[in-house]
Amino acid sequence: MTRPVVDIRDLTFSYNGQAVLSGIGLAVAPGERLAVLGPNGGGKTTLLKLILGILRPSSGTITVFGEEPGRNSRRIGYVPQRMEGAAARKDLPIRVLEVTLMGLLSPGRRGFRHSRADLARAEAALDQVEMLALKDRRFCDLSGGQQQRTLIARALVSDPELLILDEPTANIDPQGKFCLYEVLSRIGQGVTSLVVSHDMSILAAGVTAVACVNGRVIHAAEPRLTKEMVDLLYGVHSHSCPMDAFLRRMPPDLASLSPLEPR
Amino acid sequence: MITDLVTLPFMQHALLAALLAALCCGVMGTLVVANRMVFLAGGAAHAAYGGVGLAYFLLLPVLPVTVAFTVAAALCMAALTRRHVEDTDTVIGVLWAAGMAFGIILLDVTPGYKPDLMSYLFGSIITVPVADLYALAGLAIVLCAVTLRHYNGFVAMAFDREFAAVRGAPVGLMHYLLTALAAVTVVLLIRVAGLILVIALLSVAPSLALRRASSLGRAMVLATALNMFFCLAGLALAYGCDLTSGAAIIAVAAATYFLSLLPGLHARGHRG
Repeated sequence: MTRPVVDIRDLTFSYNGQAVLSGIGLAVAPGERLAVLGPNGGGKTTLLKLILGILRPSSGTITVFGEEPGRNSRRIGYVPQRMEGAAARKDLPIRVLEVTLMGLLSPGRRGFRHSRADLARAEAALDQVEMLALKDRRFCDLSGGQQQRTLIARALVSDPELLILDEPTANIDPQGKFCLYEVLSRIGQGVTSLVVSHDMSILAAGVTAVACVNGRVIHAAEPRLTKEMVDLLYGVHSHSCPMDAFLRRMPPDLASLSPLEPR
Repeated sequence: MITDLVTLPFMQHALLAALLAALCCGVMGTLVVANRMVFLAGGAAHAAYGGVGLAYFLLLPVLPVTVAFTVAAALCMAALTRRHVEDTDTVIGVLWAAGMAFGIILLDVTPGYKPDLMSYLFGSIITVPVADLYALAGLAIVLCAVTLRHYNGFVAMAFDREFAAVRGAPVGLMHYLLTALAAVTVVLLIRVAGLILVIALLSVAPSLALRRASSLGRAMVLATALNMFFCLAGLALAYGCDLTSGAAIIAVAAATYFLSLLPGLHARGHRG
């Protein structure tokens, strides 16, 4: 049997005495493109930070490529939430190409200049997300969708085996969102990926599996939501779920496009 | 007047000190502003009074004791704020005030000669000794060397600390290195330029440069050039109008800063 890329067993994480995640298990197979769905505060970003080694579990185990998280950062491409941290600032003169090159940062690399090979890799990554023409623009002058594509190029530049995206569509308008889904469907074929989102339309981004997180996790090897998943996400029985009522009012042709399991 | 500025030995020293201060603050200030550490640098500058008081109280050399005290206080602030033990602004504010009060109390209880604290506020760039020029030149070389060596790491840290940490960059170590360098810069420049001028040179030119440059490296060059302009224009103003040199330099910097805001205010006024 193939070893999972990410293997989580009986994991619990508490913050200020409150259990954010309790007793969860999740195995992500090589090549799987997993959408991690959940409401705000459900623990999905916490789960992602545990996988990255930014947070440590209170109990249980996580292995990434068979090792403790944080030990194999070179094999992981990470796209954080766009508006987090200094990246959201309007006064930082950092160009798109420089942001992409940050994906090649490692403890051994020092100095001022980048090698020609690194520059070529960064340009190739920008080309993949259709941002090469804007490589000399300041990051802070870009639109939300363009910034997000740049951050994806930064994650892709190191040819990662595992790609992790945290809320890639946050603060992006609908047109930008579907452009991004098109990019996500196309890039990194064969690369294991985890896309964390509270937006169910992420299932249109070429994912092959779904995991719902709300304190605990339900994982399915196909990109459809089951009744149990909806119950977990909304904390109510599906017969009274607002999503159900919403779907009943939708035209039949649109309802058939819904990621929800037909009842 | 320009001939006097260039030929008088004390003015030559002042010009050289101004140029070295402009370079140190142009490089360090850009990193400090980009990493949102201006308040921390201000806290370190005020905490330096504690080091001055301690040196006079213990009858020890002022410069090494002040450097050690200020670096320790700055690292303390950096550790507490980095670990989010307490609200960042509160921690820095408390250490800022405590360091200053500690220094003044120690000077109060020290018998004999006491330094004029006003000279630490605005400095005396006109009377800078040659030894301080060598110290500033050494500092400028160290700052440029460290920045060139860790440039990409500093850029990544300013942009996205979490991502830099995930990529294995020693973000914690670099945060403390930057803090320690800022503290040493502040102490060496307080003797030459005074506390208020140091904060102005560390923040005004870099913030103007960051808005206009296309990269952090170019912002450092532009900030250095702007600092040089502030210092030379301020010195000329002080010499011509018989003003305090540090205050004249700050007046030029502040006037430039507020003038640079006018186009933005005008545009917003038109948008309603």
